[in-house]
Amino acid sequence: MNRIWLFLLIVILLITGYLAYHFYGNQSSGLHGTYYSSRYSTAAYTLTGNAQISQEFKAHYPGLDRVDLFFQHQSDDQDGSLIFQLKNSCTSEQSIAQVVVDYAEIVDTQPQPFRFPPLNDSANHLYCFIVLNQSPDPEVSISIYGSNYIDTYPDGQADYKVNTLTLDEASIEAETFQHRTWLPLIQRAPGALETFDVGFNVYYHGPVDTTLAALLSRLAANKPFPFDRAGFYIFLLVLYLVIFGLLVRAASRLRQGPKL
Amino acid sequence: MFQDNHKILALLISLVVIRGLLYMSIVPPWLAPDEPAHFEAIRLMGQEGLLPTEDVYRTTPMHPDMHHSFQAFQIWQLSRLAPPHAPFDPDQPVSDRFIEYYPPTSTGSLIIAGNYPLVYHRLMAPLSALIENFPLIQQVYLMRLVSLLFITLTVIVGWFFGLTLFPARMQYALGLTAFLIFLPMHLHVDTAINSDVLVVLLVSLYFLGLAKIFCAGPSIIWLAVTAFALGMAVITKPTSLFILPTTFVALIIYGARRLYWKPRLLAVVLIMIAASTFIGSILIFQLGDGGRAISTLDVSIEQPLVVGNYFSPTAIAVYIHTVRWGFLSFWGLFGWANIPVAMTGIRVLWLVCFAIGLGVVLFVGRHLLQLGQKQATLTAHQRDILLILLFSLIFAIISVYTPIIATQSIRWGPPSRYFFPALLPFSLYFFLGYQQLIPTRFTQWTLPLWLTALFLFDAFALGFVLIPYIYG
Repeated sequence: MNRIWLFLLIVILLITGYLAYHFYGNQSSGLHGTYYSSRYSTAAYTLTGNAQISQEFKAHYPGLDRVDLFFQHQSDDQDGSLIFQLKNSCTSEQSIAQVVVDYAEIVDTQPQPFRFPPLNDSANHLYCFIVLNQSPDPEVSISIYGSNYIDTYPDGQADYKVNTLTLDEASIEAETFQHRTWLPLIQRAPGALETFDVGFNVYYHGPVDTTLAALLSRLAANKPFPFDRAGFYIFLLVLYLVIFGLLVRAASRLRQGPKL
Repeated sequence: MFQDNHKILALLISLVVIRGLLYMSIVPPWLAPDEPAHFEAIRLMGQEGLLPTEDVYRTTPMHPDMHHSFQAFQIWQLSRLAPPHAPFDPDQPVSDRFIEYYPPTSTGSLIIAGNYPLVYHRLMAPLSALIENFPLIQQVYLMRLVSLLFITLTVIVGWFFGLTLFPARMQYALGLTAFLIFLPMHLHVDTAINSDVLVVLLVSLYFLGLAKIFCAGPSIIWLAVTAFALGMAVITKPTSLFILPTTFVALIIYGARRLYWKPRLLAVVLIMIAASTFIGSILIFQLGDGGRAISTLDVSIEQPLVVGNYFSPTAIAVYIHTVRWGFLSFWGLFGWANIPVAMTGIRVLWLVCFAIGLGVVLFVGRHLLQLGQKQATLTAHQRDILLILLFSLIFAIISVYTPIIATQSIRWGPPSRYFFPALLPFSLYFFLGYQQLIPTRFTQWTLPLWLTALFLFDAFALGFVLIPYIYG
């Protein structure tokens, strides 16, 4: 029986270790912030001509390397592209990263990833992404999803600059976009601010030690003693694994009666 | 045996306390189901000396730090609901009245005296009064520690329940108790401030009492404990009402054994009880306020009986939706029912549950009905109590789903924490069903594999779902 519990313990450790590495390790961090939900699909902001949209956000972990946004084509046969710029602030001239995506690559309502080299010092830094339409034809457009004049994201504001190029009024009317609401349970807050946020997800791919340190510090934030100590969580985890190991050992040594 | 018993119980207690602390610390204050509503009701009673009526909610300001605390833990963002900011000032709430701050933007309801039995809240009110001067978040965590105490007691009760049923087979006590300890939603809901945790403890105590009465013979003490747990559970939360028909079934089975009823007669009577409970439960919800009316002893006919088409395509769609939602919310739908386990995980769980369900059918056929068995594998007492537990599960399912059938609406949910009072019989049958799937030559692997599977599922829920969602 000793072999059973030893074997199981090794299996558990291997699986747990793999999961921990998979999620919090250097190669593929599972930590990502999801700021997209039904509430972010209540409005679609059209990117026509020289229209642009920006969103300020805070990265919580090191290794920021991807931002997902959500789009909706206005029609199937339009050609055009979008420029995604990541900056330190929305007013900054310099871009940290720039990605160009053709309309054809974008799948409606599915997360559209914009990838760039990991920013290892991104933890607790504010960033801003700007999405610009790039099309020679001012009537070609695509829409990006956001919240409908509700401040849904606490760490930054969005800004929408409408198109200032002359458009054919008739064609705009023909392409009026019917935005889609996926869940009917959306409630507008009483006295909501006349502001909004873009729906987005962020992904990290940072070093293990700094990622774990950031996670522990977020776990401990705003909580009372002893829950406010990062060491408390490590202590609990170690104790948990030890006691679980002892229980598996005791269970595998248990003299069981006849099976029912 | 004696030493093993105590050693394993000590390990189980340590494990539930540590896991409870883990869940308490990972899930931020307010993010557990209805936690803000229960906290505020307790606070009104303990710190303001007021019964939480609708008028009191309209006139009494909520705790002054409530809004700040919601902001600090990003509750509105995590719950994906619109934050109730004051116009043009994100640092101020729209109102300092809880009735305007919390319910308008969430699906949670207020705890209102008269509509809701307040046993749990009365029990917690003195503690709330005692810690009135503590910072708000400390108050939340101290109240959560009481829930941790209740859930630990539930595990202890579960252990002795298992040992009472199968004194010579400790693996059953360990198997069912481990399920209580590792089920992520159980830890999530019952380490929060919520009346669910008390009702789960009371109903578990009731089942222990029944097991003692049937397996060790009736005694004054266990009759009194069972009656006390029954009464307290029923007035604590309507989700425990399924133990009323369970008690009736227990009395019938107890009488039937002593009067030597033929098995066929007993079967007919039990089926009639189940059928009348099913129909009666639908009628209660069609005519009045459902189980809440029984719990608060405020039974009145509020609306005329309207019989709908229970088999229309719309009705069937509602049933399928609620069964799927019930399954999801039992295994992993955290927060304010908005943090789900990924669909891939749920599909795997469906398969596992289907296989274990087949195992349960095998167990019932082989051991309860003795089909194809030359000699009895269980004592008459064990068969009796297992039969009662099986019916209690049927009644629990009836109580959770008949509101849906009666109203043809998903207004009642049902979140599967309403099923948690039946966790003790559920976990026992789940383990028994699982055990049927293990070939006899691998019997020694039954428990270690069970514990490993539970551990890994919980690690998946914590590492893949809760932590990335809340702290991503």
